Amino acid sequence: MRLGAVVLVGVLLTGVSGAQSTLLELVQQLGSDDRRQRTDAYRALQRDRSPQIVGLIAKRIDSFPRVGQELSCNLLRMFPIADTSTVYKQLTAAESAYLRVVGAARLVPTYVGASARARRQRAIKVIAAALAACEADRIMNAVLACRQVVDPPVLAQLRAFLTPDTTAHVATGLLRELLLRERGTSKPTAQAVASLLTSSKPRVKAVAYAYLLRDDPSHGKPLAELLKEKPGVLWWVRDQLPTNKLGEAVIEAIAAGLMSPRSEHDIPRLAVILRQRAPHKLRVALHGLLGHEKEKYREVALKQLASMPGGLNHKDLMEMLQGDALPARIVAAATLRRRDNHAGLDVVLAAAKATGKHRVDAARALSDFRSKKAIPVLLDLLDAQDRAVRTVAWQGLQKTLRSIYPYRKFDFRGCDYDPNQGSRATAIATLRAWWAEAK
Amino acid sequence: MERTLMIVVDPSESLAKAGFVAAFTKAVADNAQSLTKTRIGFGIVGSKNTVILAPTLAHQEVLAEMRRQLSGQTAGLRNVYAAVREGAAAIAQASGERTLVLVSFENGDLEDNVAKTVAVLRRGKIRAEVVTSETTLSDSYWQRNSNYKKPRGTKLVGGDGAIVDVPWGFLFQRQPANEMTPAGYAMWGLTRLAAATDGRVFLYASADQQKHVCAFFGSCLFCSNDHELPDAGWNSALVGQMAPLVSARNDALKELGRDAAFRLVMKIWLAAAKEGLINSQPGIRLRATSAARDRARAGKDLRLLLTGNFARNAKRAEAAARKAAKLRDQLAEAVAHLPPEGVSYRAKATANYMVVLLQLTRVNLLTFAGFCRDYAPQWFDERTGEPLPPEVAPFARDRRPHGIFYENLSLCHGVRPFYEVELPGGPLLRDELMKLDAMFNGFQRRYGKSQFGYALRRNGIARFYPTFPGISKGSVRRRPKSAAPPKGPITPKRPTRRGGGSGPASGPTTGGGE
Repeated sequence: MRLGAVVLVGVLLTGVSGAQSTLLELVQQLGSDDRRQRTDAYRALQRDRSPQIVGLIAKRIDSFPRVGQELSCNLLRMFPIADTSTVYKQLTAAESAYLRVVGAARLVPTYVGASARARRQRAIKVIAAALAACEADRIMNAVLACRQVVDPPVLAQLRAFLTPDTTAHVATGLLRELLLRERGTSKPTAQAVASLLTSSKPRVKAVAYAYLLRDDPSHGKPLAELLKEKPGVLWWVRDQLPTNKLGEAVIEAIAAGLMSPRSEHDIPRLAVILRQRAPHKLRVALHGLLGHEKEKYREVALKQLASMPGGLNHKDLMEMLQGDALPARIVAAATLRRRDNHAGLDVVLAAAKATGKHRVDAARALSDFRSKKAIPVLLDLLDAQDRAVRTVAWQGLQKTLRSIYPYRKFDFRGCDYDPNQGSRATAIATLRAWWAEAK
Repeated sequence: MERTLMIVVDPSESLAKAGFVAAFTKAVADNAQSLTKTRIGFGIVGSKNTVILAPTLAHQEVLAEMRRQLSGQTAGLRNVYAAVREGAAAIAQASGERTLVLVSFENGDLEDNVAKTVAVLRRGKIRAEVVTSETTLSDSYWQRNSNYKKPRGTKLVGGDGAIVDVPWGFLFQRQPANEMTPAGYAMWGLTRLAAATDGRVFLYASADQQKHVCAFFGSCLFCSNDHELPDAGWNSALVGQMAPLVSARNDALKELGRDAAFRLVMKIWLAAAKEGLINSQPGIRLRATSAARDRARAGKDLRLLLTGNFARNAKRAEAAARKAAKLRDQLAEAVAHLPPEGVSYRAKATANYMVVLLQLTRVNLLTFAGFCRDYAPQWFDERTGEPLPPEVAPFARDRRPHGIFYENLSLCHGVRPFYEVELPGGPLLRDELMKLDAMFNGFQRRYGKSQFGYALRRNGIARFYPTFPGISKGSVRRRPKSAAPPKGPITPKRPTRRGGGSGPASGPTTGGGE
């Protein structure tokens, strides 16, 4: 009996030390130069969430290369501040300026009330000094790490980065941050931004004009000239442009930019700006993109057109619905459905049953019909090969059932269906049994 | 040509958001050449002396004063008509052409004496131009909230017409459609000022007001806020046909009193209110050949929602549904035989609207009866078995309901999608839904691109829930026991309303239509 207990304690201890050594290895791998190994270790630690990770990271973080430091900081954020405050205090004296920013920034929100005022001021000083000492290529990481801190010394340091020799990447990021933290434009920032206008880099100048345009419409003209001269700078300012303050010339430049996008993601971003200010120009540009050589561009342009009121007329939609291109047929069916015309339901039902890369779109369109006919197909899609299809079908099924049966109450969590898990058969059988009785 | 222009501005929150000062400054700069002989004055609604700056040729001075005065906006009910009279008096003796521009987005519904204001403007040969927001169709809000605190000597009226001429308060409609339907016109008082002095009304709607929402006070079963209304673009000729009368209120009443369709609507409205199908009586009293304003009394309360006695509720609802059908047929028959002459398009549209609404009320009553007979008793019967998962029992079976609540499932997508929806009421309801669908489509074919077509979509099929006794808590003392006067604005504040657009909380500004 006693021997048995000794063996059991021995086994348990071996297990614990084994687990610890695994954690230690994983933490060490965060500092690895091998990207794959680093990422795998990060994911494993994320899943593990063992409190021991905090101590192991604290001992090694300052010696890690920069990516390892950033991953370690992310992992530390998973734990409550009560468990990590000692580590953050330690980081405020780290060798790396980035780690000093992270440490002090995490501590600032904990310093609440009059008794903690001095500590808070000290932490803010640390952030401001560490930001100033940051390497040029780590400025944005450090700035983002102290996002919640809006105290004047930190804001002043952010403005100090706005010099004519700064890069467009940093200028864009800093201005976005300053707009967020100051809840709009401010005079001191505008003064700092004015200095960017002397920059030799067109992108930096464009970013500066976009900021200044928010308060002063006279900056629209030079921005438009710049966009005409260097159309590429549009991609640096597209998200910063104040939609309601743009003059005709800037709108023209945006419409021209839309005609030759760099990627399919540019199309919706520029369309948002043009939709309010120049819907006609947007319509013309999108119609132009329908003939683009890249299929993805054509698809996105079509979706944008479909989402515009009056973007596609009834005749066009009916022609598209009867055409050969499946993506266009799905878009047409979804658009007609939004206009209370269910002519496309059969098309979408067929597309959802067929396998292919457009099955997700078909499943999404089908679930928006809120029709009884969709339910058996959505039930089938719950067991599709593609996880995205399963997720869309599961969400669509819930929406559809709640719409069709407004007097019934559902507890979908009780089904235990998870589109991300392998075993789904029981849940699907439960749902099928319910549907067999309800229909 | 020599001209005098008096700008009277109501400094509301929505005006500040609209960027009026910037737009006005730009207009003055763009038209500098044609304004060389135009004296511009400036006044503020709600200030002690309305006229802040007498008409002057120094336009920049006016702009500077405007910027100073309108830097902060104030909420509250302000009498724009009194301000117009003061502004008019300030330019009544000016030489040349005289124009008063009233810029008021919110307070046109607060009337003291519109007739007197018109008289002052006419006496001074002043043309009134109005920049304002759109109101709602025959707005009934102030009739429902007649006790709302307002400045002394004023009354809150609102709506596009001189009177509330579209029936409101149909049984089982959470919110009158009148209050959520853009009228296509400004508030009657403001329109009247412009119409009586050969002026014009300019309607302002912000971009965020124009977004379509299927249901403001209920839910939409059939979309995820991506509905594109098939008749979103209104037909201006049709909207013009349905225009309200802009003559003086008494003249409008006289004219309406001679309108056979209007008389018919009032008669059926009163009858329906007495049967409990509408919870308001018309605020109009018909005379032999005219009509007069009256207090809008409440309709009969059928007391369907106040008890958990489902069997009795079902019986009452079925009886009311029969009466709804009778009145519907009576009205439809009378509308079909209306004389072609002497009937206004608006009154006829109202009559047709009421026919469909009576059928909708019948559908809702039958749904209610079905709910009380089939659904609710089963939910609270302990012998009922558990439903198959994922369905669960909607309520704990041992709870005892003490009333019924409802919300509206929007008719924005029409009636047909409801065919697939499981509703209480069985085959009888199905037949009535089909009738409603035919009536709905017929109405939309005729009035679909107008304010009346839109109004019909703002109604809904009721979805019922049982209610349970709440746990009462002691009320919170609002004010300390002291002689000190309460802090806060003396001017009554405008209530927050949600209308035909998703715009700011600024009274019945809706921005619907095209």
